[in-house]
Amino acid sequence: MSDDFIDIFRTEAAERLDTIAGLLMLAEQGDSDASSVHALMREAHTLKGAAGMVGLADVAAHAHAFEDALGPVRALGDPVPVSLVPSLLELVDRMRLGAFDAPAPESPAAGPPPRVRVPAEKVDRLLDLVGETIVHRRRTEEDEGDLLLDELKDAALRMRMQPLSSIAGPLRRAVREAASALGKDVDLVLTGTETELDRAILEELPDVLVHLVRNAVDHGIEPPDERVRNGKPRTGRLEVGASQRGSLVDITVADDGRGVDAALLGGDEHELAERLAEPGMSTAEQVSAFSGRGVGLDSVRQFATSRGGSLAVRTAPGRGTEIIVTLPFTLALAQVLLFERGSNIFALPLASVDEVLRPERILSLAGRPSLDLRGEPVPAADLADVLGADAPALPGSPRAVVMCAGGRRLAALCDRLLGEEEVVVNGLLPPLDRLPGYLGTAVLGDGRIALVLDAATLVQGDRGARRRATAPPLVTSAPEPSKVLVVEDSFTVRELQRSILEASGYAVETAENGRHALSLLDRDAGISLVVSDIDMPELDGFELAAAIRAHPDRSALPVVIVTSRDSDEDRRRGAEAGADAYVVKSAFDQGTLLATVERLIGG
Amino acid sequence: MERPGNGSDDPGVTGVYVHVCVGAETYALPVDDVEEIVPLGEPTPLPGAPRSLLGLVTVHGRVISVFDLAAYLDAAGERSPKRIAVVSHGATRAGLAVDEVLGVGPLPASASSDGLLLTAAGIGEDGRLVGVIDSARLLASLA
Repeated sequence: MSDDFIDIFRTEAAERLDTIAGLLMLAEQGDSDASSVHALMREAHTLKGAAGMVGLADVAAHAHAFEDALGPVRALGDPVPVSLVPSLLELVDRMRLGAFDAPAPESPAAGPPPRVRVPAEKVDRLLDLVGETIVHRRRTEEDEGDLLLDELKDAALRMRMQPLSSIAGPLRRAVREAASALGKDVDLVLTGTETELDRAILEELPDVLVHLVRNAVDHGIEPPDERVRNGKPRTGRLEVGASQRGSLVDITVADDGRGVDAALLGGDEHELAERLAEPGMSTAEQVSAFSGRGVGLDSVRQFATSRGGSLAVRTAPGRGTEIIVTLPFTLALAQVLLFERGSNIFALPLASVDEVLRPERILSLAGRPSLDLRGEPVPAADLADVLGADAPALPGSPRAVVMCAGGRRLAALCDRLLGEEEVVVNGLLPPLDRLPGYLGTAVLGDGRIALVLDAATLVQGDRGARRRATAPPLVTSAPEPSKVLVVEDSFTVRELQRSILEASGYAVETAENGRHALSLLDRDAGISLVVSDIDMPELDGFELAAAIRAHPDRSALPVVIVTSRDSDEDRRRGAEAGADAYVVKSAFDQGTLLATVERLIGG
Repeated sequence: MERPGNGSDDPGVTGVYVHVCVGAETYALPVDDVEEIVPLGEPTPLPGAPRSLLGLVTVHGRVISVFDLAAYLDAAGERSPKRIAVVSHGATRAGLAVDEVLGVGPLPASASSDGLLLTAAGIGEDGRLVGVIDSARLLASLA
């Protein structure tokens, strides 16, 4: 479970426990009635659900005991008996202890260091200032203070960074979910989770990694019996690791499953990533619910290359598959190769540079130039032509910068090389931010502006420009993702369900209660399924389901009731109200929820 | 350039303006929208960008896109842009290339407007027409 959800839960728990304690104090003074009992039951019930979802079983158990103690009182319609208050308050204390004093699952034993939230823009402005200072410093060519400046730069960069461990929660969930749905035993091992990555990359990484681990569980790791037959341990091992390598970070997803026979795909290991990442390529004969939808390896590759990284695959039949996503350590600071064409200086992140050479001759076929790179033809083009720049003719023996992205290469011909430099890359400002071919600009040590090229779009030629303008979101289950409305009064559960559904490619709207949900349904005709809790203030789940059924336009809108109650009486009421499915909310039954949602709206 | 205090909160034609010369014509930019005036120098061209973009320059370490104001105004007369008015409105910032900066001052009230980039036109002290530029709308139309 990620610390983020624990934090969200704690915020919610603090409020609910305060409400409960307040009501109990009043009850102790004889100031309570049947409605206080209802309120107490509802608070404890919501807390139980949320605690269960974030894996705090103790808190859930105490909340359950709290409900049990008050149940008979509610049945009688009595106020809270004064004699019951001390034991109820003790349960409140235990819940508080369980929610706040226990170390969060998966967090280091020493406890997390205190966190300060800094707005992203402030950090970026600080970086701008540091970049500017570096430029001035270099101009004055004084050594004094350089060390201090480097420290300042590192400190500013660090503020953009977060460790990989911050996304461990969704990964564990995805593996658990996929393993149970597919009947496999999988042990997820996380290594190097302290490795830090740029915040902007980390925000997008969960989608990518969730896809990769699902793929590994589905296509890589064999069912337990097959593993035993092949002399492997019953439980498959899935390792997700991160390690920094200079200015790059390698993120590895490795399984000890059946692997892929490279020969079957018709290529050697070198080409494997390219082959596997071809759109539509799937190693599963039958596309299953898990890997057949959502992002493909081609999207993962596109994600990596568009951020100046790359994708590699190593696999051996019977031994397993290793997928390595290489990403820049930071998006803000990049080690670039500088070169000149016409009146411009261009910069290309080193991660996208394959090689640099002075070609002996330039071949041509059907008017398209190519280079002979050790017997392999590589498309070549005058960089000025590629970008549409006005420039004098290339020199007699131009330099070729061979850039590589997503398995495609392009030899960009330019006037001369200027060397390497570490630069702060800033994106172009609107309206120029839509201009294809550029990652942004960088101010060099001498004050000149270098245009930072985007290899991922340049290697695509004309197609790249168009593709970039309409780049699809990373996770799509269909051209338009199905929209699900989550109705739930607990913030923790709401956000968890949102993250589960979003990770599977659904668009998610949320509402706090049935009444709020109805007004959202009035405004948004695109909602194709409703997932609702039962116990909510204002309008509960049964009433919501009934109201949806009664509406002429929504009689067919699927409604899934999710609740921690598991009684035949509730199932009957749910069915009567017109619910299509009933899912019991206990710890980590996301597989059931997803399967139900998929069944009702066809994925 | 010093920023004189704006005598009026009225964003109309009664405030204080930076008067600039584009070709043979005079235009006025609301002083509150003008961050500073810097020499044009030699902007770095950005291949593939719209024609109205003269290029990129750095101002205090930040890269600013410089657009040719004349391209949006259809201004008459020979032009030779020499200065950049760095204009910002909300989160948008851009440089507008102008021939010369004439000064800062008020503008006589006026009623006429072209409904496009100009909010109004007034008659300056020298008897010439002065176009008042709607910086927000201009910045929004740069794309």
